[in-house]
Amino acid sequence: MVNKSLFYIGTLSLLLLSSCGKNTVDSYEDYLLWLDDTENGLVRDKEAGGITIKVKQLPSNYLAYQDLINEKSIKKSIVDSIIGSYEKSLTFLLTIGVDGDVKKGDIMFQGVRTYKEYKQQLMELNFGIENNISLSIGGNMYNPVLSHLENVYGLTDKRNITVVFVPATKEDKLFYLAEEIQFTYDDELFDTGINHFTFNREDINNNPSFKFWN
Amino acid sequence: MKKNVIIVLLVVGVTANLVLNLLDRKYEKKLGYVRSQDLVYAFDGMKEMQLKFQEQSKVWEANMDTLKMEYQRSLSEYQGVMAQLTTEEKITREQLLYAQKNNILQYSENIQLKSKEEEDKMLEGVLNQVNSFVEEYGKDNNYDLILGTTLAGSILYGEEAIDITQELIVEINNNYNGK
Repeated sequence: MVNKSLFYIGTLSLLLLSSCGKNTVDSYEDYLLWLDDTENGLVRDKEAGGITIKVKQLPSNYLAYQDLINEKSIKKSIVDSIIGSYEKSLTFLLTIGVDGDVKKGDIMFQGVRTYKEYKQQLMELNFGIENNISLSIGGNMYNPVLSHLENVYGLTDKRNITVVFVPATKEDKLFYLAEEIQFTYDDELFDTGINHFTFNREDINNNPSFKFWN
Repeated sequence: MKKNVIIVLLVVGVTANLVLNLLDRKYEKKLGYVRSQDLVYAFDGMKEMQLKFQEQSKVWEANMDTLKMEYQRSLSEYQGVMAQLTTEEKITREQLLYAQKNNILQYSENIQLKSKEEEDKMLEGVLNQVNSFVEEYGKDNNYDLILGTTLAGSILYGEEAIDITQELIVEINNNYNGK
């Protein structure tokens, strides 16, 4: 009798646990909405002196989808392999712009008076910004292994910079397990000072999987 | 009849009182003041900026020490061999020492300027963060006016009940640390 009860309780617990697992989304549009919802913890933003700074953690399945977006037929093994390779790193999208109230116009022209200064700013955003970005995980400090300024051809007033971090060594388990991840941008270009953005591992691991991919 | 008049008067009185109270509340402004200096110096962003500046200053000081040591070494070396040198050689060596000393002075002036420039730039970042946060805090908490005490003494007295410095320090530090 007791054994039977234990069996039912166990089965019920398993069912409950499985229902608490990963959520799924039906379309890519839904996924983007989920990703941009600040409640889901993958987007953090700050504002100072009319400059807005937004940091978004880009999940591995999102990055994999970007890679495969134009493929007509995708094998699950390929999808899994690409997601697996992205899971070895942490990717963030840093967006710098103006609030449109205190400051207006293209971010590239903020604080710039001459063409020389504009060129200097462009060089800094392209090649020097990685020196001002770091990640702190479980007391360890990580510098980006890759930073890329998106070329927008003047179509938007803000700029996106993709930043990638990897663990220091293969044995560095904290990189994958520590609960809190702090992204720091020490802004030396737009006078917003040092900016910290804290992400929780739970939120990062909780991103929905693509139902439409299966 | 008299009773009815009293009731009507009472109703009118109560209604008028209610309306006046509501109007009073509508026009009551929410005010607060901040001890600006305390807020800025208790702000974690300021502390981190100061640490960063100290680190940068240490690098400049180390460079300065290296230049001074090199000059001292050259001077001692010159003093050691001075007796054996010809007048022309002495002039050349002294000119070199003079140029070396000038380089040190020049470097010292440059780092003083650079240091001031860097400090101002870092401080601007901190103040931008503080100002933006206070503005946001004011909007979120329905403040009509938040005043800041300064050393110049723009606020001479403020009741402690409307001093929001402490809660602002807690909030701004939570925000700064991404919490």
